[in-house]
Amino acid sequence: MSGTPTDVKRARATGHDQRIADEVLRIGIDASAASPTVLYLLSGIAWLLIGSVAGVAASLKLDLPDWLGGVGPLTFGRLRPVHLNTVTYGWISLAGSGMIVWLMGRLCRTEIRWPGLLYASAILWNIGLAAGSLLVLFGYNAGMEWLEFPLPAAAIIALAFVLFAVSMFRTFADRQVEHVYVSLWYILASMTWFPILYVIANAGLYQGVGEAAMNWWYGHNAITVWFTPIGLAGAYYFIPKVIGRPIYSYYLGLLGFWSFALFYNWNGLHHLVGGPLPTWAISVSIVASLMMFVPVLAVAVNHHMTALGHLQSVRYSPTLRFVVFGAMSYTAVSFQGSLEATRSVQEVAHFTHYTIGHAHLGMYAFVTMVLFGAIYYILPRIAKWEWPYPVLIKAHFWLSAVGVMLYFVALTVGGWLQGLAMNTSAVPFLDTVQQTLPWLWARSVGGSMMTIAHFIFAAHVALVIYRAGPMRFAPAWFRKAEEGAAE
Amino acid sequence: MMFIRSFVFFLGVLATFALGWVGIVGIPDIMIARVQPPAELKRYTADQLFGRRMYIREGCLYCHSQQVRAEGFGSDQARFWGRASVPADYQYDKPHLLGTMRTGPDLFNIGARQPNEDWHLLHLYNPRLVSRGSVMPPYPWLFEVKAAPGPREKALVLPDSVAPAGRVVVPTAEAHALVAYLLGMNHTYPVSQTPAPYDTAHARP
Amino acid sequence: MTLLPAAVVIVVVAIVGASAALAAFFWALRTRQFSIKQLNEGATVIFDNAEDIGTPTDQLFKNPPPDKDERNAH
Repeated sequence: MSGTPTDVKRARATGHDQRIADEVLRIGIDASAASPTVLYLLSGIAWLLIGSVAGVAASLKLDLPDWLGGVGPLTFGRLRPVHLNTVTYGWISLAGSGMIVWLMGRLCRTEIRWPGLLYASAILWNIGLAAGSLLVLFGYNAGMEWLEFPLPAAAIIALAFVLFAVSMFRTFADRQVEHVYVSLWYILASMTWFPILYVIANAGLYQGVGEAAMNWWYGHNAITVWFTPIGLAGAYYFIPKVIGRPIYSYYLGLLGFWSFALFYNWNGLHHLVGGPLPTWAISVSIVASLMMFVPVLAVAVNHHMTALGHLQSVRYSPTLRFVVFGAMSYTAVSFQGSLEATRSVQEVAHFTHYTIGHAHLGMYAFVTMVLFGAIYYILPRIAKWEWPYPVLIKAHFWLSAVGVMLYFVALTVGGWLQGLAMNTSAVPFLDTVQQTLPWLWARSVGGSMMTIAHFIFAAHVALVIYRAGPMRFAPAWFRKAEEGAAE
Repeated sequence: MMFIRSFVFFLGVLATFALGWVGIVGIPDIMIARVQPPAELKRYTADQLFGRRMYIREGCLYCHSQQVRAEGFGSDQARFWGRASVPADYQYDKPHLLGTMRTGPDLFNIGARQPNEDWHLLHLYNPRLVSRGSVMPPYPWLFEVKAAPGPREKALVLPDSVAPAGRVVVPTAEAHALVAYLLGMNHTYPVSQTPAPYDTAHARP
Repeated sequence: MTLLPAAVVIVVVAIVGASAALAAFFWALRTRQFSIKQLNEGATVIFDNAEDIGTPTDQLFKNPPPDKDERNAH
């Protein structure tokens, strides 16, 4: 203010130079992450397509039980685990790793270290997934839900994860920034937790009911220590970054992270309510589930309050639309999960399709939608090519969002009615099966919509990677800038 | 400073994880591992173990549970699925097959409820032959279609609508093993400590 | 394993763990890890001089949409 015109000019010049310097630094960091990120993301998307087709096929098999009934490898009991494993250990894990690699460079403000490990990891990971899926299809299911891959395939995946984590920890150790951002807390914690968890679960340490306890501790903790942190790390970065405002309360972020770590690790045994386990152990898990209200509220306030002042941005920015949808689903699925863990709800909902609806609200409407948003942000910056057809993004969003909501509502209502009927002993068992059929058809429709959305998305990704379609300099927004600009 | 902060962070991360592992897996497992299997609980025969592999291979566990809940919690008792199951019942199970879905009925006592081998074979060949309205998949690859049954083989008695013309359907060793496993699913023997009836008035959070 | 040694192990581990947690807590208090000011600065590390606070980053190319100046003017 008080300086001479020359000072002001110099100050402006310095500011300009700093801007250029930071821009160059960021572009260099992004470039170092580009190739491994693309390898992970494309592998993830390929598994998303495979897993979606397996999921729709499995769903149709309940509608039409004799369809392809003579083909052993395509029976329901083999397609279902292939669907689960390819979308979780394939799509979410690989696409999530791609997002983590890219975020790691930016949040540590340094180039990715030891990228060779990342290439090896992505390739091994794909080999492990292909081997595991084929082994399950051809009859070598290892026998526990979430742990169907036989030991050789699981070992390859564990090794792939360790290689990935080593490169990430090396990059973290060389970070050029003093503060470790909240997204990184979740990422670092998950890269510590998940390999230990996965190795313990596949080591075969338990037997009988002890193994059942381990199974559901693993089943829920895989979500705790790997899938949820991917979604939260993405939401914590992309919501403030796209809007251009820091998150609402960093203090709540801290509270949210540590309460998450403390309570979420005790979840799991509520999957066995009423089962032959020590009642106190199940009760501990139920209490921990209810305590999850603390971290969930902290995260919800943070994400929603950050987005709240910028609802216009949610209308026109694809990344923000997907990520905010995911963040809202996280709040919803967590509230539902906490209540669902209680004995009163479990008495009805346990053993029904209700649980499957809940799982998809978490793994799809939350984690997968955040990942879609992340990819809409990351890929153009890597390819230097803006998304060519915003209408395809629009189609992807609505097919995914409406599809998963239809899926969720159908299974929630249908599952609850199924549970009520099952608890009425006067209703013959086969009637409880018949009653679910219309809801299962609706589920197949919802699942098909999501699958179509994935193929549209994959085609669009291919266009960006090959820099095909019209070259756009304007942003690929849902609406024209004039409409979106009125913030 | 940065180092101490990272150290405390990872210490906390490992501690929270270890607490959960010990708390809901380690301690229950120590308690359960001490339980003696009941004398009446038979070990699986080699044939039944092979059938158990088939049960896992075909993914039966995605639709059938193997656990019975106590009186007052659900209608397992009123449906006569057996007494409430206890940890001792599972001491020979690896991997465990407790299951989380009841798209089909619970199978913990299917051998006692339906002891007819022919019914099970027909049901596996095509569930809708014996159970109208079922959505269970058929398992025709557990059967052979041939000109005539061999010695010691028994063809399925099929209605004309599904019987292959001029040929017979014979169960393979895999089908027989799976049925042997299912018929062995009989936990009707008494155990000393069944869970008390569920106290609906007090214990429910 | 009988229950007594298991209980001893658990109690020892619990004491060690609780002491570590207390030590970490007092360290955090002493070094002002909970300071709101420090934390709020932390929230801004995702921004830099090129993409500073107040700049939405939902587009790849930096040429502003035609209405950007209008937006500021309103």
